[in-house]
Amino acid sequence: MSCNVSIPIKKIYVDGRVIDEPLTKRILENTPGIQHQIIDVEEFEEHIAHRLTPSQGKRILFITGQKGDLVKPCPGTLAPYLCCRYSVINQIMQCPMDCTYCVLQEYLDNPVMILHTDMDDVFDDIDCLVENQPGRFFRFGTGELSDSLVLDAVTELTQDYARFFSSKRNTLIEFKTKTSRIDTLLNVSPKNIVVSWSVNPQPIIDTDEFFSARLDERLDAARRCQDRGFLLGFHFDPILHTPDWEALYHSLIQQLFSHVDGSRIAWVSLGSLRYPPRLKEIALKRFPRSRIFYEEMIRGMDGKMRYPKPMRVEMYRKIYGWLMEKAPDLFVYFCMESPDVWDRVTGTHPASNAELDFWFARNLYRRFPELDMDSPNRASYTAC
Amino acid sequence: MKIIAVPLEEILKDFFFRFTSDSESDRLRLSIQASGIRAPVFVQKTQRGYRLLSGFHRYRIALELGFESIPAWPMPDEMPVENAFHDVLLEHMVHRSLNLIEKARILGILDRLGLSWESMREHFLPLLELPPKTEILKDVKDLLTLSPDIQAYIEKYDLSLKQAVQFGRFSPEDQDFFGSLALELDIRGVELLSILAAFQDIAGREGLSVTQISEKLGCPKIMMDSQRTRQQRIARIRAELERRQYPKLYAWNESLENLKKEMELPEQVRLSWDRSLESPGICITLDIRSIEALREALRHLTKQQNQKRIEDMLSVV
Repeated sequence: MSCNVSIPIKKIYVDGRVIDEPLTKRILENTPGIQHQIIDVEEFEEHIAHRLTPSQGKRILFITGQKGDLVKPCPGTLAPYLCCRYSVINQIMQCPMDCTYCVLQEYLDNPVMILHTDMDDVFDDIDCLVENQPGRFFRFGTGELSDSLVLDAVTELTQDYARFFSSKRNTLIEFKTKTSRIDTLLNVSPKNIVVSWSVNPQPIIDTDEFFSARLDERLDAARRCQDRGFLLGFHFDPILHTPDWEALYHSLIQQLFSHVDGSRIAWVSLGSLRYPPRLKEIALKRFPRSRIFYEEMIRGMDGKMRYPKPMRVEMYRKIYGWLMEKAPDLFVYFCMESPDVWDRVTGTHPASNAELDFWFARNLYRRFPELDMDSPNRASYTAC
Repeated sequence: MKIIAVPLEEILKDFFFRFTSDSESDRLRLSIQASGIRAPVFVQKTQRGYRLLSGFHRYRIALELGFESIPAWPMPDEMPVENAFHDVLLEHMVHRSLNLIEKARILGILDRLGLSWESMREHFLPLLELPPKTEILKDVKDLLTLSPDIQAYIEKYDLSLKQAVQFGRFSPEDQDFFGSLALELDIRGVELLSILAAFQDIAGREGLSVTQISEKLGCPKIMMDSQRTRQQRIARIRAELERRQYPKLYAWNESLENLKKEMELPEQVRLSWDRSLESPGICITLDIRSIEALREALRHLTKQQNQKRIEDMLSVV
């Protein structure tokens, strides 16, 4: 089931207060065949949103406004697990794709896709954040509470972001996706943009990533973005422990490097399946045929369920080793992993989240002069 | 509304509105024997006779004790029966909270009356002290599809809806197994649910039914083992499940235990680790009462073979 051919929206509700916003008008112009209705926020919440099942909600777009608070530090997870101090832009919440393991099933209590129109507020927040911490290189992303590109043919938000970020120093934006919908990107400047893909072997996509693009479609799209001058990112997340995981992930890495040039990959993340305990019940109710929640899992030090450490280490060592074989200069980091796991796989670990943030900047500075960023100084990172 | 005496023979015997369980019958019988029926039942007159809306136990005991009539509140004839039932429930809830299965039976009755889901959700769920949500309505109604043993268990231990719906994931055969396990060993809600979760994980991973897994683990035999106490039998089943649910974790811990045993440490040296293997390192605790004891402990720990064993342990944890 691929969602790459059509817009996955059945109906659009518009908060009456934002009907005249340029972004609202643009979306309605881009969706002539889709029914829309102007509605009051309370009425929408009470009579529409909370009566929909998660699957129904994924086909409804609600356009509304919210002043501020859309740009935040990535919530990450608790110590001792390390996080990278990424910044998220939550302009769209919810995703029309349907992955069995998706934490949004548990994290968001509204099943509907919500889009906030306040672009100026978002840009002001970004400026404010960057100006308040001089000497730090910021990575922003729109793919935390949604997919960065899945609705872009309708919203064209990437164009706004591209224009904004191309004129900024010491920042970049990452568009993270599981689609191959890159057409809107091909007309914009690639400056200060990383386009990244969450990847998994095709058999896992078939069973656990519904309505997303096939792996080969994602990798073809990545190659086209690379040809257009964009930096790339890849997220091996969540890595799933299936009986044949070793062969599957090995083949995935071969396939990835047959499509793209390792020297244009800004970063690769590794993260094994982890989830808040409540997710299992929710997901099994929605996806009773999924097998991924039946593996051996322990409760981690942050309360999330994870594979036991020796299992994670074994998978990471293999995958990390294959990546290094293909591109020894690649920047590979772990998402929400413990210092002990870092040590066992790479031989070292960042001393703190700030240090990991610094490692990102140092690596980007060394490998991608086109980013035209200030030389990173460790003290600027650890001080804030 | 005035209390009337309704002849027992004029009461319809379809018991359509019966939703309560038999749990308090004996006490009620003693009370009625001693003082008669003090709380009137609720009835509504139909063309064929009086339909009982509540008070089924009192009616049955009255019949058994040879009463000729029963005191009753007659609900207005012209009142729609679902409204009459609603008012009866309202009265009932003042005196006693209902358990989940009784609530499910009420929704089943309303369903058979042809009441819409919306009406049930909006008018009856709040009355039954449940949130007015379609999902809740469905979950509660579905409890009636569970095996009789499981329904009895849910009533006996007054399980919450969140707990009770867990049984719905299993086949009727598997539910029967859980029902007999729980009732035989008198396992309480939270403990049974953790056993259920373990069975579910193993079944999901191995592609077997719960009943098949229970056979493989020897559960029926353990359940009937009269040499062991109830607690011992539960502990044994849990241990078997854990070994099967976490085979790798179990094996790693076993290898750590073996290394620890091989070290032959004196009793003043204790060695432990996080059995989930998530926290790194091992913890060595020394209980020292003399310099000699300290020397002895250090001598054991620093033996070349033991250093190697500690290194092996650290490679796992």
